[in-house]
Amino acid sequence: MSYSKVAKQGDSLYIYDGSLQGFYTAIYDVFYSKKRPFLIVSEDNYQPTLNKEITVYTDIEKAQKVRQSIKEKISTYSLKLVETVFIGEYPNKEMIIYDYLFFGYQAGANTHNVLTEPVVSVALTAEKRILYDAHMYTGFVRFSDYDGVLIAKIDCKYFILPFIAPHFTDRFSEENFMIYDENFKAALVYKDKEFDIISVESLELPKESENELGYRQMWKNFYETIAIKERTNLKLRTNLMRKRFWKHMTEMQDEN
Amino acid sequence: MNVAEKLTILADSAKYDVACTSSGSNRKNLNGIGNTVPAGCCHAFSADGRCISLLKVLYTNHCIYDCKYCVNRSSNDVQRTAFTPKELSELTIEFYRRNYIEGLFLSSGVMKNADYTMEQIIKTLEILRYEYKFHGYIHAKTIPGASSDLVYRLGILADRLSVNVELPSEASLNRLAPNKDRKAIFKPMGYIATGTKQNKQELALYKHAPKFANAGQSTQMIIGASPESDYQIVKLSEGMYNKYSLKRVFYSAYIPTLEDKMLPAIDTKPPLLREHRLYQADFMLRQYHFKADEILSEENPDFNPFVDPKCNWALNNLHFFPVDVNRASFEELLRVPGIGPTSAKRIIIARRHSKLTMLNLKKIGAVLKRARFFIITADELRGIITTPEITAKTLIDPSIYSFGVEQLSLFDNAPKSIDINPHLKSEFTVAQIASDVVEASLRKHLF
Repeated sequence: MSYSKVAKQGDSLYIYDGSLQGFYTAIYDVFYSKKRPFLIVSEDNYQPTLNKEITVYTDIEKAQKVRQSIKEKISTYSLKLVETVFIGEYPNKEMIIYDYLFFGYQAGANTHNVLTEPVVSVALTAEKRILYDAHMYTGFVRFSDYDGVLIAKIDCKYFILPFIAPHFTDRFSEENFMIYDENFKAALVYKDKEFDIISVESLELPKESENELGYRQMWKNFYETIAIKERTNLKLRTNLMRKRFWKHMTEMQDEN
Repeated sequence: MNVAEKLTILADSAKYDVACTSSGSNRKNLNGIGNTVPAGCCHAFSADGRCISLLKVLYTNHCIYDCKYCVNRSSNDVQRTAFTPKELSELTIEFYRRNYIEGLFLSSGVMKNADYTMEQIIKTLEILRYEYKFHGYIHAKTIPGASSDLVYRLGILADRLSVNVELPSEASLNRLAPNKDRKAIFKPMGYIATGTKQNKQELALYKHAPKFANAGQSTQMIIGASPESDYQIVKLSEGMYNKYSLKRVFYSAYIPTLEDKMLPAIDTKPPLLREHRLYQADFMLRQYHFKADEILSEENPDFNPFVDPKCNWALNNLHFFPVDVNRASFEELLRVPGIGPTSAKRIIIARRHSKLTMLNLKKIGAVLKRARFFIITADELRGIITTPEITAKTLIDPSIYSFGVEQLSLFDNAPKSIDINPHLKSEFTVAQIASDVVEASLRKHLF
């Protein structure tokens, strides 16, 4: 089986508003132009170039059509993949998704199985990396107790808050908690059994209580005690727990 | 003594327990705190590179037994303490709320007698499960010699149960753990196995029947404190997997902490390479459909230190190769050194859509460093340049460097001459190359 159709390289730059709907609208317009765009870019990341610029006006109807077409002409798996890569804020996500969809509309339901196709493997890698980070953060988030409210800070490479939300809301369903992402300036807030992801410019934390500091110290002691000295293997540790996760982990504060 | 001090003492005594897995159980939260996910979740990694998933502590380090290898043996002069059920359950919940841990791993020394200790453990877990409504992961250790109804009660509360085999043979157990009886170890293991089987039937009939140790049972043994061969150990593991349907067998390299005539000298380095090889063999049993007798044999009872066991099997069974990646079954692909379950699955998916060449294999993410010598692809391996030296150096397991050269003593087991692939016509001596490698790294250490 071979899929030989290749889009003609165009030179237009599409600017959309940064939302998923806006992006789907851009995809709609791009496909009808029949040329591979020079770039699709959100307003926030836009930098002036010499290319022809086209501003995309978000159109819910077009967006719905694109979403529906991915589901019907490719597969629900592919739709999930596309949205994961988009929401996860993967670098160059727009063009990765465009290339994946262009190939996908030809290959159909099997798209995500054509592993030898570079555009597919790039998209799958993107999805894998985002979900890997999300999984790691389910373990590496560290809450502190401020008067009964649990607050954690993280600093993520990808925007993983939406992916870890179901995990934490189920796990701590009787608590009130907040996870603040420094990098994306957003917070997952769970209060009275409802959760929301809101944008938060900065976060000032009150002073920790004695009790909280006590548990932190106990955890640090436990962390140090549980390692077997004769088997110390720092390289292995770094392989399994990359340094980018360490910043806000209670037990790693002295190790940086 | 406050809880913080107790925690330090009792975590220190628990650290030699290997298992820290939180996998195999899938439970949602029900108006309480916590849940479990099938894949488990690591919350931290300690300086020795081991995953910290559970709060691993002993209930107490008081112990009536005097096992020679154990830091908590009754004749050892250490500070003794015990948690109360209340303290331990509160500590667990507070750690869990802060997302430090995935649950509790509770083991214990034997206080008064086996049943009394079991009751204390059960009390702790009852507070966690019923008062705090804790739905997170609990791994509990059954105490050897405990009665069957206590084991059953523990199984209802815990996700995973384990009984330590401690040592690979009865003779060693009698020598080093004179108060422990091998039967007393295997009996609870049997209880758990039958309990799980019964529970399966109950669950099929009644959806809401209480689950008994739904993440199964595991065990662990100490490697290097007694003279068993690798073959005996792998055979024992295979037997236990079959007979008691264990989920995992863990191996723990013996770390000398105590001086004793019957134990290796106190300055002995822990046999980490051997432990590593055992885990590799263990994976071959569980995930790669190998039999113990294929991995090692009576005549060849020890692992080859230079190549991993799967590669070793391949070198001794060259008639099986080369494997055609475009035609071979999943099981056949799994036997190729360097191809694991993930790569094998990807190969099977990808080859439905296009003929697989070397380049294609690289694209789908298969690691070809070693595999390329054992496979045929659609392009018949054109373009690979190799010499016998390169072949041999590639096949030698790089992990031997990280464990240090001291352990390379089983020199004679290395295969003498290997013709890897008819396409390549390379003949080389692993032993020869290995000696070069050792020499080179020694040189690096000296100068």
